[in-house]
Amino acid sequence: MDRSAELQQNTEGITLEDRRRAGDRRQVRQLRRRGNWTPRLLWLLVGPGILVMLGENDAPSMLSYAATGAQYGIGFFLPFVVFTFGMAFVVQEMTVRLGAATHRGHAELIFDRFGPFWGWFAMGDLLLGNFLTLVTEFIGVRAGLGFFGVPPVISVLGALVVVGFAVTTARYWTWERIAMGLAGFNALFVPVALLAHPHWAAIGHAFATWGPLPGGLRNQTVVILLSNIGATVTPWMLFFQQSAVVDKGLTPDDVRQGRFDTALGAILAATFAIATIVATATLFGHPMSTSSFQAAEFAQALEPYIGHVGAALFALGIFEAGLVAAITIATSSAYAFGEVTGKSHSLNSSLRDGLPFYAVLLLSAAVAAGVVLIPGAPLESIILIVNVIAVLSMPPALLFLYLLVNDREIMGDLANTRLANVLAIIVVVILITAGLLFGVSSIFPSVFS
Amino acid sequence: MDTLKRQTMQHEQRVEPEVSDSWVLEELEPDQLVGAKAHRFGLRELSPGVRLLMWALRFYAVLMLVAVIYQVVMTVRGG
Repeated sequence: MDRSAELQQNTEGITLEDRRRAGDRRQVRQLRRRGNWTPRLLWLLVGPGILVMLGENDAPSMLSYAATGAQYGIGFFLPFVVFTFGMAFVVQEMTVRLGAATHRGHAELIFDRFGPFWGWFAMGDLLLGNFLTLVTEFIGVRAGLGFFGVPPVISVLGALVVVGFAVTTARYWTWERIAMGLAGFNALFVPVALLAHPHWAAIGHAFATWGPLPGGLRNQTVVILLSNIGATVTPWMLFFQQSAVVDKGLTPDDVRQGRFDTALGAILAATFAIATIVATATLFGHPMSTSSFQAAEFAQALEPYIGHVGAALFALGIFEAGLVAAITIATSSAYAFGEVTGKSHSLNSSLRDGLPFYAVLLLSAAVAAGVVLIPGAPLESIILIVNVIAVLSMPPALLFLYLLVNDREIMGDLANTRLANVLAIIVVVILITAGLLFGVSSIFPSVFS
Repeated sequence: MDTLKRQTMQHEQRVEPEVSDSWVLEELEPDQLVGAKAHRFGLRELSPGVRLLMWALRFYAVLMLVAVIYQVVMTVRGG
């Protein structure tokens, strides 16, 4: 049988999702003829990395950075944030290779290779973390728009409509561009920082010396350390980026551009995180903490120092952070659900074919939004623990990632190098140490007091 | 937004069903097709050491979760 007859015979099972992905791949193939690093090719191939990194600059993360600036000023935490994004890059780059090599999502691979027993553990961590985080995103949305006097019901339902609009495009590429466009507003924290007239010499000194760390290693410092790690390295990021890489259709030929995408996302996210710390460092000495979860409180506290425009930009930034993360985190839950149940799990699916996928996506967002509107819901407690839980559930998630990315049977030549393994082990050791520090500080607070 | 719309339309034009779908097979790797997703990778062999590590990290996560709940209860009571 000649090649064309063979192809004709195999086209019966072709779906709309296949056609859409193939359309994207055709463009990539055509552009690749002009070179691997042309701006147009990069424009086509970037997305998952930028989205995952800016998505993780979410409402609780930005509030965590804001609390860091207010409590510790400009010092140790500036280089520390860069370091944590370095860890995030190490981890996320592996998901790019996994997705490109296997064309399978993270949840799917865990179930396939380790069985449902371990798979459900991983899913439990993911879904618990995602739900709590989603709640905090809507807290951010509510709080950000609250600065402008928008009632909570309107702001939360409005955000839900935006999440719904983004997915009803039923087209991965369009969804990705909408989400990236919204994520770009994370840059609002840069003008906020500039309006705070930062002390550039102090910033330079902080990066050069990793100091000062006012008060040393106290219980509160341990919590902030964990919050900042949890603001950059979390389980949903693994699941989301790998699934997005698969949905986008990246192949082994695209891994280098996938790395670029991830690095660019990490650089942008670290810059905006640092800008937030620098902006709120003007509040150093004021009693602000992560529990000041109403962004309006931070924005109002900042207003005397950076003016009304600066405070408004800060509040808008918190709103944007919550909105973009609500989109990406709800999507990661839906991807994982589809991968585990074998249902369609692509943003390229038609609304009819992908109904369960889109339903989970919207339902998870809707339930989280509903929690935020319950009078007396323990929102402050959720804000306090969400990043900490993310850090504590990372080591088991990283073990799965480590085993998968070293699995030559599925990875072939894209399996981890020795250097990547050393870096991955360092990240796991740091996360476990940070978790243990937290455990000790919780149960034996006198150790760090 | 106009640019986004135009680019989306360009994409859509490229994915209109054609007389034959053979072009789809040429653009995608075989295991990228939706139909190929039914194929599952089999279970991998886990050494006793890896199993022990998986259980250890699972206990670690549960233990730390208890510490978090304890910390939150203390914080809420203190607040």
